[in-house]
Amino acid sequence: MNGNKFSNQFRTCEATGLKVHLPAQKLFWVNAVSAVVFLLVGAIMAIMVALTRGFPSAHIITDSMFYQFLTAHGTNMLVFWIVFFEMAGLIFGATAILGSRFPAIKLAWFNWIIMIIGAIMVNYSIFWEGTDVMFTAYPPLAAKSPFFYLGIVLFAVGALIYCFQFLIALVIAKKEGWHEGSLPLFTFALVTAAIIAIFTLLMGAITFVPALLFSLKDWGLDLGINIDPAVFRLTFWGFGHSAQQINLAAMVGIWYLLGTLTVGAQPVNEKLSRWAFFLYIIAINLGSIHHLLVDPALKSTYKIFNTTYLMYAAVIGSLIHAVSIPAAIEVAQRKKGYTKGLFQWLRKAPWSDPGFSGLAISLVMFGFIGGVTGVVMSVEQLNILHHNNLRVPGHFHATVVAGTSLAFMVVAYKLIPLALQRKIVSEKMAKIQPYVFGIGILMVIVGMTFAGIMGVPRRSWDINSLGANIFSSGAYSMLVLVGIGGVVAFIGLLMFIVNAVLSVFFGKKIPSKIEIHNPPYETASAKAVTAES
Amino acid sequence: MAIFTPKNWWKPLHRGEKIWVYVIIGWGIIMTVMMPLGHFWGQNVSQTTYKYKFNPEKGINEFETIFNNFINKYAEKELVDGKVVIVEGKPKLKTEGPSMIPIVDASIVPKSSDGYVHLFLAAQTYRFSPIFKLERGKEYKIHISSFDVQHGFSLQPLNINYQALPGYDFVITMKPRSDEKLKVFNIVCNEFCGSSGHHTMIGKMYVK
Repeated sequence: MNGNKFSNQFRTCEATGLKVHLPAQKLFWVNAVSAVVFLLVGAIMAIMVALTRGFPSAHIITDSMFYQFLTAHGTNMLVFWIVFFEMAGLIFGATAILGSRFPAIKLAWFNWIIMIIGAIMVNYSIFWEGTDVMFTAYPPLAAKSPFFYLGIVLFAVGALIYCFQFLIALVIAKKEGWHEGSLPLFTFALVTAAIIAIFTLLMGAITFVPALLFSLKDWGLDLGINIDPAVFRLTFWGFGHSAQQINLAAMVGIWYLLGTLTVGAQPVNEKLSRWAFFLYIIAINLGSIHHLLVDPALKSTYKIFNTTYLMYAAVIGSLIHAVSIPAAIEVAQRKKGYTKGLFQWLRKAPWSDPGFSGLAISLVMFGFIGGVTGVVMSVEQLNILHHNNLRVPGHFHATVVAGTSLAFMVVAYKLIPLALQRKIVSEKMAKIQPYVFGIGILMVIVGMTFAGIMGVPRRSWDINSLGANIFSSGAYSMLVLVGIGGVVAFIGLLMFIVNAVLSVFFGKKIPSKIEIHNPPYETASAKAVTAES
Repeated sequence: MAIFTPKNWWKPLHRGEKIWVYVIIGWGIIMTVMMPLGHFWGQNVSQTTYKYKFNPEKGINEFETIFNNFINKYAEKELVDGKVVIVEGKPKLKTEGPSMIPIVDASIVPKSSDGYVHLFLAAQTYRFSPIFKLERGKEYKIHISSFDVQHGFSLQPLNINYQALPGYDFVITMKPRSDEKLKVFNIVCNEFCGSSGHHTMIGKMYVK
C-alpha cells in the first residue's frame, strides 16, 4: 500500500466494488452523452431516408434533401455516435475496470472539445451549406466548403489523442501500482481496438488532409493539389474499413463484458480469445481492398492477395469468438444447474435482461447475417454482383447497426448505473427495446439484401425516376419492407434514446462511497528498490 | 471473467476447441485457394486498365478526346433521303431519349489489331453515352471511363457492377450470349454522382 496524490479522487461502486476515478467519470459522461445526441440526429435522418427509399413514389423528401440526409445519416451514425461511445468505452476500460486513474484530464477535455467542434462543423456543412458527398466523399465530387473536411480532420485528431491517452493510462496503471498482471479480457479487446484505431486514424489523415487542402481553394487558397480518385479510394478504405474493425474489436469486448455482467460467464480459454483479437490486428487492416474489387487501377493479383489470405485470417478470429462467447455462456449456465438436455441452458437464460437479449441478438445478427454476407461479398467473382447495390448497406446494417450499435446500446443500460450512478428510468422499456430494435433492423436488412440481389442501387432517391421500369415488382416490395422495418427500428432506437437520456439526467441517484483508494500494488520504482536490496 | 485479471490464462486448448480451430483454418485455406483458381479459370474482373491524363480545371481529359473521335467516326448519323444531315459543317448525329444520346452500331466498328472490337462508353453527370447495338455471340472490349466525377456501371437486369473513375479506362470483355432473348439492357449509375440527377442517370444497351 502506498499513498498517491490521486488516491482521494475515487469512489467505490456499491454493487460491483469497482473503484471509479471521478474525473474520468465526468469524461465518460460527456463522451457518452455526446454519442447519444449524435445518435438522435442520425436516427431522425435514418427514418427520413428509410421512408424515402421504402416508398419511392411518395417522394417524402426532395432529392437534394435526401442526399444531404443520407450524408448526415452516415457521418452521424457511423462516425460520431460510434466513436464518441468508443471513447467513453476506452475511458471506462482503462480506469474503472483496472481501478486506475485516467492521465492528463485537461488534455482529455481538450480532445473532447475539438471532437465536438469537428462534429458540429461537419453537420453545419451538411445542413446549412448543403454538402451531399456521402460518408465516402469520393473526389472529384467535393463538399460545399472546407468545413466538411476540416470537421472530420479535427474529430479524428481528438480521437487519435484519446487513443494514445488510453495506452498511456495502461502504462500508468502498471507503473503506479493500480493494477498488476495481465489485462482483463475486456481491456485487452479495447487495446486491440485502440491499436487498430491509431492505424485507421493515420490513414484517415492521409485521406482527408489532402482533400482539405484541395478544398481550400473555395476560400481562395489554391495549393495546386490534384487528388487522384483511385488513390483516394485506396486510402479512404484503409480508413473506412479499418474503422469498422475498431467497432468489431470493441463490440466483441463488450460481448465478453455482457456475458460476464449478465450470467457471470468466464472466457473458456483466454489464450484462444486473445489470439483471435491478435488476428484482427495483423490481418484486417490490409484486407480492405475488398471495397475496390471492381475498380480500375489495381492489379488483380494485389486484390486477390488482400481479399483471400489476409481477410480470412481475420474471419478466423471472428469464428473463434463466435464459439467461445456462447461456450462461455453455456458453461456459466450449466454451472448454475441448467444441465437438462442440449439447450436448457439457453432456454433458461435471462432473456428479459436487455444485456443478455441484446448480446444474443447482436451476436447472431452480426455473425450469421453480417459476417456471412461480408465474406461472400469479398469474393472477387461474386463482388461483381454486389458492388454498390443495396446488398452492401444490407450487409453493414447487420454488422454496424444490429451488431455494434445494439451491443453499445445494451451495454449502456449496464454502464449508466455502474459508471454514472444513475438507475435506469424504465427497466420495462429496456427489457423490450432490444427485441423491437432487433426485429425492425432485421426487416431493414432482409429488405435491403434482397432488393440488392434484384439489382436495386444504393444511394438512389428514386429507382424509377425516369419511369424506365428497370426493376421487378419484387424489388419494390422489398423496399417497402425496408420502409416498415425502418419505422420499427426507429421506434426501438427512440426507446433507447429516451430511456438513456432520462436516466442520465433524472434517474434515481445511486449512492456511492467516496473513499481513499491507494494503488494496491507496489509501484515500479518501489519494485526496483526492492530488487536492488 | 472478462473484467478481472486472469491468473493463469496460458492453458492448452480443450479438444473441442482444437477441432474447431482446425476446421476454420482448413476452411480458410480452401477459400483462399478457391478465389485465385476461379480467377485464373476465367471468372474474373477484366485486368486491363489504362491511365489517362485528367485535370478538369486545366481542361485536360484524354479519354474525352479518344471518345469524341470514336463517336464522330462510328455514331449513327441522321439521314434525310439517304443523305447525311449537316449542321454547322458537322454531320448531325442520330440520338435517342431526352438527353440526346448518340447511338453506335457495333457491327460497323472494325476490329483492332488485337482482334477485338473496341467500344468506348463514357459516364458523365447524368448520362451514359453512347447507346450500343451489340450482336449476339460476338465479343467486345468495352472501355468504361468518366468525364467528371466517379460513376457506377450497373448492367440490369444482369446485375453486373463496375466502377467508373475519371482518368482511368477500365476495359471489360463482354459477350452477349448467343441464346440471349432480352433485347434491351439498362445501365444504372450506382455510385452517387450529384444530388440533382444521380437517380436519373440511366443508359441503355441493345442486343440484336
